Amino acid sequence: MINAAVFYLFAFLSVIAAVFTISFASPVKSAISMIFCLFCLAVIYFTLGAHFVGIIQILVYAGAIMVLFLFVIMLLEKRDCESSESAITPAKSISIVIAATLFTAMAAAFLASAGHLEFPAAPDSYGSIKVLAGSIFHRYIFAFEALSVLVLAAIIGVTLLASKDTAGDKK
Amino acid sequence: MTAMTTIGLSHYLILSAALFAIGLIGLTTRRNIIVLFMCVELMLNSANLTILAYARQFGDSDFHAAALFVMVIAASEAALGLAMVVAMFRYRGTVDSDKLTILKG
Repeated sequence: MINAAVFYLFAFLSVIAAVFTISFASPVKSAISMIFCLFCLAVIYFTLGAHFVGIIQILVYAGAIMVLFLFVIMLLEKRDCESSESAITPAKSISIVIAATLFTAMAAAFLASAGHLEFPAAPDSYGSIKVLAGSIFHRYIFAFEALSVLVLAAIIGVTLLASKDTAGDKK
Repeated sequence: MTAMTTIGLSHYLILSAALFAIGLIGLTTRRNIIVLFMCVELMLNSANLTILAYARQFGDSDFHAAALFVMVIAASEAALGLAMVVAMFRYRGTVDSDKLTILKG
């Protein structure tokens, strides 16, 4: 019961925050709504028993990635950051209709396949750090190492893009 | 009655579909590249929610590792994408996706 109430509250809040994210004209307001949406999603992850993923969601997503977004928004000048957002045009309404159709189709398919089934009882160790560490550092160690190479490549790429000698000095 | 008080797989999947659709609308209607990146993050989060909902359904914690790996990839993508936005802003002086027509024939 409590779980249901928490789920409905935070599902509602996350959808509202997501709508705000895409509708605010100012990118700073969008980013703040996005942070709120990510917090709500972390709570939803908690209701699924994914405690560690929820904590990482708050620390890495809401804490680090969105702060990076805010830094970049504030790094660029305000007048340049405000792009030419126009009102609803025919092309935009078509895209909204397509997205709404996609949502209806997905929701119908999910309801048809999963129905209103309750989750089966999870094992005692479900979502515990011990089991998660076992799967990350033992079973999927190769994927973990590949990801660390990916992150290293991303760091080098970002450094290269950000240095003044290589990027943007072609004027 | 049971549909409202007990929460199952379909509830989470429908929430995930809603977030994905909202992200898609934002991705197709907005012009600001930074906001477009945020919409992509939103869609990645909805995919993560699906992974975690199925993890709960199957009672398998291995899926949590997959969700964490998706987060790592999202972080790398955001860092690289924002660095590209800054470089592009230095070069073109705008973050409006409609004005970036350098590849247009």
